[in-house]
Amino acid sequence: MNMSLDAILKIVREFVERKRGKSVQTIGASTALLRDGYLDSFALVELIADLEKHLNTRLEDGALIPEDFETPETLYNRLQEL
Amino acid sequence: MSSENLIDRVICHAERTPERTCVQTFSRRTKPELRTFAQIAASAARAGSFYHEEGLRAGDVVVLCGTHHIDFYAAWLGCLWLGAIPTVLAEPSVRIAKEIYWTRLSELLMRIGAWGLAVDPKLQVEASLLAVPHTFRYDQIAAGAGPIPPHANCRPESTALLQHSSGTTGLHKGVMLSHEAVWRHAESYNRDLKMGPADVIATWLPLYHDMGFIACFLTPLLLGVEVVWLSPFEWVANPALLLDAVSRHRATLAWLPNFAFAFLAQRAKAATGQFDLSSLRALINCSEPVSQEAMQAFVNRFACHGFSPAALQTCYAMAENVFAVTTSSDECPPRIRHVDREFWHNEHRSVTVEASQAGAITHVSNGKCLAECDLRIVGDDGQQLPAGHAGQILIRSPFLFNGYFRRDDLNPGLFDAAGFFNTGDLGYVDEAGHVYVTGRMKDLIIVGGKNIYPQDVEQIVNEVHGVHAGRVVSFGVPLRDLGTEGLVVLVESDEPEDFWLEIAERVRTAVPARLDTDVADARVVPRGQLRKSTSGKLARGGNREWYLDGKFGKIPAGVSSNP
Repeated sequence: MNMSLDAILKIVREFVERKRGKSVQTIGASTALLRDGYLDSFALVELIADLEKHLNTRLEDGALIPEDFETPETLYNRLQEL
Repeated sequence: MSSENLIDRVICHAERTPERTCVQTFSRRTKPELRTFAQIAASAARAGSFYHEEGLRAGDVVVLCGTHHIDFYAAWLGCLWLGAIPTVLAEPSVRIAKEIYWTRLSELLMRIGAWGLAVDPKLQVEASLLAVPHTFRYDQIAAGAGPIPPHANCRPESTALLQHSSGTTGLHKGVMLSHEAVWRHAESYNRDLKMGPADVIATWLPLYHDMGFIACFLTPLLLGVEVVWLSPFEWVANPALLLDAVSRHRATLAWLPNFAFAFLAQRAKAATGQFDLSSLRALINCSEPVSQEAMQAFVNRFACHGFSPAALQTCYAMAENVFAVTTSSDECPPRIRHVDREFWHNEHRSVTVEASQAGAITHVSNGKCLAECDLRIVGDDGQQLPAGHAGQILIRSPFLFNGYFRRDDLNPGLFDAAGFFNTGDLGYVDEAGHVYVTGRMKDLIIVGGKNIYPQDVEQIVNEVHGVHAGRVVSFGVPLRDLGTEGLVVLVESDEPEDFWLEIAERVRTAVPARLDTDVADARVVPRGQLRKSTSGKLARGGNREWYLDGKFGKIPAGVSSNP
């Protein structure tokens, strides 16, 4: 899927900011998103919907699982495979 | 058929209905795999031969880790084949730091004197670094090719398995369950559930938790019921997968924690009429406090997919009683009771009122006691309370556990003179014998069906830089939309106020990495503001009350201030 790592980072940051109500520039390509509490498992479904909106495509149900969200980089790598 | 040896039950199904499906996986990511009862029993025998050649003997403990793999069945049953004792532990998650996970696991293995470790193939590399005498992969175990040893003839009262509850404090308590207890529980619970050959269970529940393990793995194995098995990881990111599984396999039963009803209603992608849920005859809400809101949201959303509200059932369960203590059923559906707020808060009495009365509280019953269980509600003085009065819940049954494994510090006094076990839960019984579980004594927090002990959270947060050690309190608050609890941590700090946001951020980061759970809210409050009890200790309940009243600042939008 054609999308840069920077674009993924931007989507993730905006999503976390919306959830937290404050700026989170600390998120980098290798930030542990779930482990460091930026995302919780229940938020994944919403983030997937956000990704679909930005990618302007519909991801197949189950295309992404929590392990894919370990860091923005793992997410980027997984999206390249799709 | 009088044998209570669990492995005999599985062999019996393999002989009588060899071609019946025992389990099949369901996933969008991987190819489905299916095993019949004959295949499962044969793989259990091969696993028995594998373990036997490696030196596993009756009474040894084997830890299994990583559960969504078809050969888990063989690796688990192979232990029973030899009379060894299996126990299932949580697998590493992306939330928990890997080195912390493996360190903690090896400590537990040492403490319980485990013979060995059986793991999902994808965990092998890390597991092999542990100082455990025997570490094997599930697929390796299931492929055992040696002569098949005769299967053990266990005494009914001997320990069949250990059930470890989650949480670090919980990790150190392995509930010992005998062959007889597990079997009698299955028979007793099934008098209400009436599961038979026509039933299919759909499940995404992890097997290190009693609801996934007993209700969706072991009981169906013993009763010969088919299971459609989803990965919990895949389900969280794609909740509609469960609906798809029910639809395609015409599943008749499923167990869900309360939050999952709300989660499915809000987040599952489902176009009108896409799924056919009409086959579900029981959808059982268990392991968290049951809320009417969550169940109603599910009905509203999925009635158009053929879901029948009559299928909604409730259950009250705990590992110490194998699983179920109470259950609702077709003949005895869950009751919804509207209760006067004043009487409830001031006198802990459930006095019914019209639903329309201002401030009325809604309680949903967890059904009635299983026929073979006794349940008693007692006050702080130990005296039994009349119907409608809330107190501590004590239980007695022929399938209560034998104590905690190698915990002689906890075992004396677990049961009173009459054989009752104090569950640590609070609740009441109504005039018709319906049980309502309304709270917990031990400050336990349940997040998404998982038990979190505030002591564990506080211990971790005490070590966070900038936090004044000993000035930390944690508790659960109801999350309205998710139908579960959120974990709140409040701390005091000696640092200037400018650093508070940063300290709160560190708290938020420290907890998931160690406990595999999310923090809903972390805050630093001014020195001396956390509420203390009369004995000078920080009071979790008192601070929770103040937090919900907004005394520590505005509460987040998703938190329900009116529990």
